[in-house]
Amino acid sequence: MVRLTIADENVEKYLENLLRENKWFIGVIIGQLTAQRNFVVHLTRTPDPVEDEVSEENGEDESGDAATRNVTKKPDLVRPNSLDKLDEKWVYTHAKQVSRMLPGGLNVIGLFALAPSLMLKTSQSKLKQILYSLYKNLNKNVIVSTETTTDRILLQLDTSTKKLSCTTIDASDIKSAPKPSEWKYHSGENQWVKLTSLVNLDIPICVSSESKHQTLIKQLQVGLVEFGDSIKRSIITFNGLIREPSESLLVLSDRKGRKDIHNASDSIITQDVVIYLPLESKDGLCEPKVKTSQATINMIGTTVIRAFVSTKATVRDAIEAVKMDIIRSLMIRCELLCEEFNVTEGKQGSEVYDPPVRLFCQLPQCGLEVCDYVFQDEKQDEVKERIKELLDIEVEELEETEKSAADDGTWSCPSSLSCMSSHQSLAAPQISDNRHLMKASFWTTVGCLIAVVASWMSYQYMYDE
Amino acid sequence: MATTVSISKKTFRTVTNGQWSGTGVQGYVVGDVDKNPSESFSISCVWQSKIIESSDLKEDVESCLSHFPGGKNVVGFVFLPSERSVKNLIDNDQAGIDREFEEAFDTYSVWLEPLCLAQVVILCLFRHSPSDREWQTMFFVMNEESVTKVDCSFSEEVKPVIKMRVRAGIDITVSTESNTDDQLKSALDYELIRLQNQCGNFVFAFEDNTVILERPGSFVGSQLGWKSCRDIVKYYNEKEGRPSGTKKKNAAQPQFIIPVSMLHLITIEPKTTLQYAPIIQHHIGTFQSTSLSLPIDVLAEVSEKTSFTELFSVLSRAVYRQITALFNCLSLYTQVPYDNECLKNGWGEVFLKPSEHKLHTPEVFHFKPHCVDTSITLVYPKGTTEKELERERLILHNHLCLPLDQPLLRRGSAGLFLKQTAPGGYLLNTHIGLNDPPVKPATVALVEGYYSYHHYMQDRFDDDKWGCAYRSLQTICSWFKYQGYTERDIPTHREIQQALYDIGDKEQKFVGSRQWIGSFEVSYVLDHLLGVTSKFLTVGSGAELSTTGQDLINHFQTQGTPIMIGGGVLAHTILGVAYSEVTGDISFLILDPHYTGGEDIKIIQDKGWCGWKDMSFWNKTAHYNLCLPQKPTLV
Repeated sequence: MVRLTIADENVEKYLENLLRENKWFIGVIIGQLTAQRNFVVHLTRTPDPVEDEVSEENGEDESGDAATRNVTKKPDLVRPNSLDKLDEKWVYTHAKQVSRMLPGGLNVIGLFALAPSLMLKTSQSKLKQILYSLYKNLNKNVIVSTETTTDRILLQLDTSTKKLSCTTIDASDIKSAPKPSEWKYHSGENQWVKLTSLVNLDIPICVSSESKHQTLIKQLQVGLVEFGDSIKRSIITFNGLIREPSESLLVLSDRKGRKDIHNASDSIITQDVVIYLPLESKDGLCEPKVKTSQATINMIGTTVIRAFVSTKATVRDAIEAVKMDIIRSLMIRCELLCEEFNVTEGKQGSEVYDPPVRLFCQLPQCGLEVCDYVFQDEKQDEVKERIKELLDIEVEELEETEKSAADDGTWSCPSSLSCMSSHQSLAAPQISDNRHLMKASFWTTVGCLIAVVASWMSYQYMYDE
Repeated sequence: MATTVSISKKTFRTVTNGQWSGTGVQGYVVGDVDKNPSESFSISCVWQSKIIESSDLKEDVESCLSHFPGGKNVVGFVFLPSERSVKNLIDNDQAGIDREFEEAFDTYSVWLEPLCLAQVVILCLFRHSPSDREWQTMFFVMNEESVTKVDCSFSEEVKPVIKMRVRAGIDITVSTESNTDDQLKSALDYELIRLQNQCGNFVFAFEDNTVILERPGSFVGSQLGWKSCRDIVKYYNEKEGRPSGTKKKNAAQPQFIIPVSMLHLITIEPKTTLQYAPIIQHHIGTFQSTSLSLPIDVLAEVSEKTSFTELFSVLSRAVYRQITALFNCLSLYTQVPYDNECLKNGWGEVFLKPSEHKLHTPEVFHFKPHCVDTSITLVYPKGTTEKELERERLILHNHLCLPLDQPLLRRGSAGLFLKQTAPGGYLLNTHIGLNDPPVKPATVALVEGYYSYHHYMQDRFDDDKWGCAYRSLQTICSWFKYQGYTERDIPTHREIQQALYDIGDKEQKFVGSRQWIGSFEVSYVLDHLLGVTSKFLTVGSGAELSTTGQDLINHFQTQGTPIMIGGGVLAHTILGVAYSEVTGDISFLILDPHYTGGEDIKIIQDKGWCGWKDMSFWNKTAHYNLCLPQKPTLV
């Protein structure tokens, strides 16, 4: 049976526009792969390589991983004259950045290429190679995988014949043969469900002294595995109901009365999602585990969670999309933070870092949203420009959903640090003599202890010494 | 309608036999208060507490209640009047009584507010003369304005309650820079506060997390349509195949306890408070990090009338209290320096130096002492010996007015009331649910506490026709184990034989043989393995057993241990006696070790493997020896 790939009608317009440019293009496909069919919601061509300083400001550095950083620092600065000459790192860097702009449920699900017949023909193995490399590298630092399929889409548009070919390739298997997929455009009523939640996090991490990972990003990646595990085991309700994973997410009444609304972005069905972490009782008591740590980390705060699934999605699909967003969003914040700052290692002391905050904007017409993570010093225009470059869309309005803790002078406000962890206590052993006293003065004491001395982004702890 | 107060006879006896001293407020009255149709208090326990200042009341009450199932409350105070006002009490001199109370309590409202009650019970304890052993009681009801004397009724009847048990594990990590006691304690304090802050987001789930009870008392995800606690009971009754509504339960079957799990709600309402995006705190240094899973194990009792909002609050508060109690235990036992013995036991990890402090995982235990009307929940540090905990047990016995000559709160006796079988699958207390003894009118005295039924062919061991005394001995050993007298496992046949060889009673070839043992061997083994001495009763013939009535009554009333009786070629266990002084009729509650079948309580009771036997049960001509184990005096 031929697998169906359904593309949003905007995709058709986008391809027509690219055709008119009369150049070859490569780019990434954004969409959703479900057990039943593939959804393509957006295509974005990989932007031309640009001057080094600009690329740096756009965060083209792909991860905190020093080994890969060196390679990508020297991309081909010129656009090659043929597809088969292009550097796969160039596409990968783009894909990596795009994947950081996606809400749960949406992924970079493949590659598209636009070229004359001959160029396409000679580039076949190159395209496949890029596809494999994308799959491998994009999944490299995924701490908890929620993926159901390893298929990826390769879409090719022959600019000479205007013929479109869509195939799927199992990207986990280098020997797999491409399978043809039926490509269809979708128009008319909205076909997405938006899942939203606001999640309060308090994640303590101890970095074992035996750990060889010296960089903060590696420590975070290792440290977040456990949290990712508990998210994987979490229980999720939709509009206050616990549902069977095999059921379809929407019930009849959800669809009713929505048929006649044509403006997709207004009519998108939204479901509130609530997440519960399990607190399983262990079989048999364990002895306390004691280890020496070289560092302790706390991640504390509130994140906005958004995910999109098709109106045909099962509850299972929706659960996976939400879990994906929680874990991915957290990892992206960490990665961006560590890429942006040279975190000093091996030094004693405590610092508080302020990772970028998340904002959302609409993908035109389809009702879907994409997101971006923004540091304190970034202006709206810069963000819009980045979205334009990476996603090839004009954005008018940015929805600022999160507030940076540094935004506000009220660091001592209990709600901002509502779940202080034990690690905090290291800074203030002297106030613990009397528990009653401590309870009352806890928040104000913490407030006093924290003084903002570092520059615009990091905060140095002042010890009361 | 008038306010009523009720207490069961055994609780009353426990309170009045307790050791009380001083004057003024000396303890809390723990129980339930039912506001419909009129206010009625039922007292299930008292908690002696030496220093009660009204200013510290709230914290003290919380720590008191952490020992009781969720749903129980402090409903009043134990009050010891000054000696001079005892006469006023007896004479019912209202002015004198008022004066006494005003002096002791000052403003009444400061005592009521922390308990959130409009009126409370005052259990007044006094003695005519200091040499009296038993305390006299008088009950009062105190509201904001006045103190009024009330009558107290004795009721043995336990109101139908819904029992729930919340079990969960909360992972915590405590990190300190230098491993001093101060640092560890302050790190624990902060971790406790962190958890206490999260407590409101701990929600409760039923039926494999398919139904979740949230804070406002609403059930989320409920496909079951629960509208009230009554619906929950009905649901579980149907599920367990129990007839609903029937008041008369099978007594042998412990009441079903609804299992509840706990989840951490991490989603928050938008815009409720200022929310900030995540920050990362990074501390570099050398830390000692201890991680463990806090074992939450909370019992709760609510009535069918309880609303879901109340139910949530009962569970939530009980969990909060237990978290506090678990941290208390962690904090209290960090100071235990480990000596060589601990290291040998494997409690210390290799990388810990003996001078450092370490944490013990706190462990939750539920007890049901026979002298109070409620279960008691305690937290003990894992990896400590009973000897190390003796001081703590003494304090607890005092708090609860428990007798100081028998162990009631040792870990060995914990949790058995929640089960039908002992570890290993042995049936517990097989006599529960039997019909009354055929002798009437009679004094009935039975074994006290828990034992397990040991009989032929158990443990995949064929001892048919020779092992009956061994099995009887095992039942006696189980009693000492389940009463907490010993941590030793119930000995196998071989261990019993080895013990007899070790003390020089038998030769080497006896070990591993199929030779019988008798009452004296039983007593030697009890002495050697458990340090338990025994008394003996000897009768020349079975017919003479009818004369042992009073002795057996005395034994069960003072010792309460199972008796091994050997005569001819048979050994049995006596679990109780019914004896009529008037007619001389006697009946014995026998547990028969010759049973070779499976662990089926119905067969065992119906076929008389455990049951009341009259004189005809005994061999008229055989000589009988009865081994009466004497319980050691300890706590």
